[in-house]
Amino acid sequence: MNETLLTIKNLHVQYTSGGQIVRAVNGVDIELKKGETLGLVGETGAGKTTISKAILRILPDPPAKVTCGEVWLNDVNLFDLPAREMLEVRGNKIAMIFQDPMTALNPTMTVGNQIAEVILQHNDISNKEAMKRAASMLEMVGIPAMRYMEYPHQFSGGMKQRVVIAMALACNPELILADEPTTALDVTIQAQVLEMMINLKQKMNTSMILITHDLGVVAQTCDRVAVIYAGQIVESGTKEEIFNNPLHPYTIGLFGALPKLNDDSKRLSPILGLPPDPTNLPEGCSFNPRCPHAFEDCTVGQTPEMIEVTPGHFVRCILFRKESVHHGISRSQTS
Amino acid sequence: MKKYLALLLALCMVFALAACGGDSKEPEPTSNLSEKLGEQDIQKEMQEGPEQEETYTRDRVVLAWNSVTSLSPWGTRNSTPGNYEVYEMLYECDANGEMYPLLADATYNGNFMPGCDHEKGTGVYTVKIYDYIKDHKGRPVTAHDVAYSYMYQLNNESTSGWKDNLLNVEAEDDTTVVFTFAQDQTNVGQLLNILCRCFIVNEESHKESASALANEMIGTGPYKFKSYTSGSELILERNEDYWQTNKELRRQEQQANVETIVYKFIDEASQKVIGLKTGEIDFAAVMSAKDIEPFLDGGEFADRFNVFTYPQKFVFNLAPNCSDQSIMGDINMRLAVFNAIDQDALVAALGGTDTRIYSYASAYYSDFDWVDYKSMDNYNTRTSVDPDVVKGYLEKAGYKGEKVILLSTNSLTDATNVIEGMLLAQGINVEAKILDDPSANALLADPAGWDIMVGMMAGDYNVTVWQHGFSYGNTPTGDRTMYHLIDDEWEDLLNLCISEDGHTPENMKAWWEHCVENAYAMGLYTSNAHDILPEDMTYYVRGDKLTPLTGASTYAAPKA
Amino acid sequence: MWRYIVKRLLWMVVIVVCVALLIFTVLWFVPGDPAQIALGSEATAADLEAYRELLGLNDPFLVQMGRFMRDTFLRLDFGISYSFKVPVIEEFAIRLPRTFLLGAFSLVLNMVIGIPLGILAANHRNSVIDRGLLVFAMVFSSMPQFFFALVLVVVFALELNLLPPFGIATWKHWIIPVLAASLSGIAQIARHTRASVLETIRADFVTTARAKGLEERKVIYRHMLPNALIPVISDLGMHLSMIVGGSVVIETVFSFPGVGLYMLYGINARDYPVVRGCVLILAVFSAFVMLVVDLVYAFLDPRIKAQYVNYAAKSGGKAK
Repeated sequence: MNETLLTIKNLHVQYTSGGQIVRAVNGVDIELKKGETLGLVGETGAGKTTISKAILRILPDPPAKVTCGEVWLNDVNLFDLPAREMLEVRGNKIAMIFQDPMTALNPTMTVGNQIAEVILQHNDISNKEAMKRAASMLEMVGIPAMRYMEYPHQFSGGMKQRVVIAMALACNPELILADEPTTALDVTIQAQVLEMMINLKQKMNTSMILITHDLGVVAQTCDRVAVIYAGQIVESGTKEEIFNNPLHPYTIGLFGALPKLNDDSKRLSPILGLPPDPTNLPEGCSFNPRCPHAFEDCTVGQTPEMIEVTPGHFVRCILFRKESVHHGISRSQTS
Repeated sequence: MKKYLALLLALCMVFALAACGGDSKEPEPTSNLSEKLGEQDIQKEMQEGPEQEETYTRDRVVLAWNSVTSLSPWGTRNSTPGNYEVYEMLYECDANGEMYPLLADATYNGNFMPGCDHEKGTGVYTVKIYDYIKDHKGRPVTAHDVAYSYMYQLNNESTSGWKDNLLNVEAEDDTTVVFTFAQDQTNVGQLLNILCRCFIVNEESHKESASALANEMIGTGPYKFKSYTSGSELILERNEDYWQTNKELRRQEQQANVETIVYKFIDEASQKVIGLKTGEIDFAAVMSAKDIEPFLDGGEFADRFNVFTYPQKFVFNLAPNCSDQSIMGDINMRLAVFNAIDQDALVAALGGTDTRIYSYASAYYSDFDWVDYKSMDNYNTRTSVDPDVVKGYLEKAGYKGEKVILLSTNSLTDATNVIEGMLLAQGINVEAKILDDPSANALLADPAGWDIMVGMMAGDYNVTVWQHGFSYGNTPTGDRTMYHLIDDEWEDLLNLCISEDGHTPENMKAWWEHCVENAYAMGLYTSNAHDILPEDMTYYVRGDKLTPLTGASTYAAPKA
Repeated sequence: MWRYIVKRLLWMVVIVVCVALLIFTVLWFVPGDPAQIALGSEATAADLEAYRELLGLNDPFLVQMGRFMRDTFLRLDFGISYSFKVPVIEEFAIRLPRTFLLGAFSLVLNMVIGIPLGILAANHRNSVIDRGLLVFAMVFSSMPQFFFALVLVVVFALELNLLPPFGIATWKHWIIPVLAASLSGIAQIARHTRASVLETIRADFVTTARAKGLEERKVIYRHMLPNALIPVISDLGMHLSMIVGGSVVIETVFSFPGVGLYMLYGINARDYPVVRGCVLILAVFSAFVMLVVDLVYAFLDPRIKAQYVNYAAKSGGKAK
């Protein structure tokens, strides 16, 4: 139950665009246990999707490049695998659920066949058998099996996403990478789909990395949370720890920006400033231009190391170094 | 970097296109071309006539020919390829324009001409034909078939000068045909226009043909039809069973010295040249001066071909609109325009291979030498342009720079451009309108639509050229010329010249003098045509209307 | 789906009838007298009048139009050509297959060479192959057809003496004309395919397919190509119509006796039956090609098929 399934070590990914280098992922470390759900939280452009695509090695190769890092699935470094063997991992051991259901399905193929395709790819069974299994997958996600021969355009957004989920789960993967699976759906459908995902996950004991920018979704589904900013994880810990005791100024800012029902204030309190230009990251801590607690040491040198403040709760901020006592922060001061 | 490359390529394309277009405006003066043409030996060799000894039978001759739409033998202007080789007429004209009997019995001493009886003053002509004529289906061709052919063509096909003239053609017996005309055929070329302008077919063969002889040919001639691919080629083969077995009576034009004649339909001039060079084609007729250089002596392909140059029958002319709706209705304007043209310069600008003329007449026709046009003193005999003279006439006409429309057809584009330039140089505000044939003809009929026309006219004699151009009969109303001129005195002179008895040097001179006095028309130049013959052709035979008869020509045996 | 096809066919009839009326009226107003052309400038007025009478050209506009419409649509008789003297239908029966074959071969070349070239260029984006293709496409799209045709003839027939320069006697005679006719099409199809592939290859469903663990080959042929080629199909149909309708240049240069030359003669000689017949037949052909293209679209893309079915349904009964 508590074996480590996935380990990512020091992942760096770059995009080359028009002669400029975009640093999308700058040293990410993740550890995921079996059956665990990790939420990756961050703004758009923080690098979340890039991480998941990098794991599967489906980054578009001319612009994107993994410059450094290792990804260990059980005992195998995925980056060392020859391409042929990587094919057996994709869809089979690790599956991905994409963000936009409207475009994630091939418009010229029936939904049933698209599910059957992945089953056939990874199982040596007959077509008929694959079709039967695909039909039962459809049932599992709540779509009547007789809609097997219908095309994606005949389904609504929510149902399309269910098809995508069915496709991802069809081969019983060990790990699911869910990239904002409910962002494109409206709230009521969102709830249904999330619940379904949780049930299936529990039933099959699948691990999941759930990428989202919605803290509510995180609260509902995740065991652990990692907060990403400018291609780095700036805070990670259990869901309870992060929600009850956010430490990094960015995390605090995120929670602070959430609208509250019982609040009388007329304006939202966003984090001041804009996300950094990935071709030109600030020196020192990437967050320092926007951080209300930034001081001189924040602007020089490398980005800070991750510091374990309480067991399992890590922060990337020099304010939490044992040495710096006179700038200790507590949650009460910033909420 | 990419932008510069794109710009460079665009500039290259622009230059290339400009270079392509530039060619059409100014034909390059090939001054040594006319010299080269004069040096061709072949003309002199062929004046002597065919070799007397047994001629060699060539296996195959392939001709380049402009495409045709049907193989029909009908129409007085018939130009079907192979028509004079597959079909025959009662009489035909040789290359010099002399009429000779073909199907008509040459041994019959008619009182009018061999094969024909005629009472002077009547409209009745009786023609006798041979009694052993048969067509390619083996059917005998009798006087009945002659009558059938004539009446069919008269009633169903396009004829010129037949309606209201030829009333009836009847067979009296198997070998006697009676022609009934509305009057005695006393005008020059009038009888020729009937007797030499209708091919004879066997009635049954004609009726039996699925396409009524549009896609096949069944005649009586020394060649018979083998196959036809519309738009592609026509193949004829030698008729082993030719009806005229009497060697004495069988003329040079009726010989068959080639086994197979192939007509390949090619319209694109450059393809004809390529075809000659690659050997696909052995013969090409009426090539322009631009294309013949490689085939002249000293040229790259001179060892395989000879160039045969001869004058064409066209008179290239300027005809002003003489009605009062045109500015050219004023004689001074006409004189101004005519005196502004430098004919020698015009000929030089067109390549130097044409011949300027001194009147509206061509040396091609047999009645040319009757009048010494060159010695007369008028706008048509000038050798240079005097701007003061032109200005004088313009002042007399009170010309204020009004627009003058110069009408022409596509085939005369080069000449029209040169003329336009010459007139503009003298201060005449001319605008050229070059249209395709049908549109030009339509505009011609509108007296307010044009002022001067650059045209080309042909006929069988100079006087018929005049008739085609200036007879009242060419217009629907019949009271004016097609250039909108009304001058009854001149018309009477023309009618006098066109009659058999009135066709005299004095009358012709009178007509031309009247024309010049009133500046009604001007002859510009005549052109030469060039046929390209295979090297082994020793004598080149041409038939009526200068139709190439490659089958009748003689060939030298290949050197061992 | 059948309802859709039937509806389209009915529309085709309407369009063809309108084209017939239009071409008749246009020819009526075009200057030029067929009799004058047939008989020449030396003809007398009486001759011209007689010939016009023979051709039925003296009747009033509506009478002639009525006669034309009746003959064409009720009797399927396109008339007899003034200059060819053979029924237009017969001449068509001989010439249309040739021009159509020219178009068909060009189409095949367009598909077989153009599409793979486009895919190749897209796969090796920005490489020498890709840049080379773009230059090739630009040059051949802009080069006038006759120029290129003559260049081919000079090179292959004259200089190298490999192929015959004109005519249609043997299969060898067809090589240069087909090449000349198809080159600009190949260039355009290749360019369009390249653009379409580059666009489709970024699509999300392609990434999904890869994420499913499919081999790249399967991703390309099963997922990417069917979607990328859909817009190219319409191009191919258009090219076929253009080649069959616009083959005049090729036919003139190569003395290729097809419909193009036939129409050209007709126009120059004001041979009304020929011009009308050609225009009508080509209109029908083009409409038919468009219908086939649309049906192929529906076959490839189920979304389009659904649209058609909706269009054909009378009261939305079948609409989804």
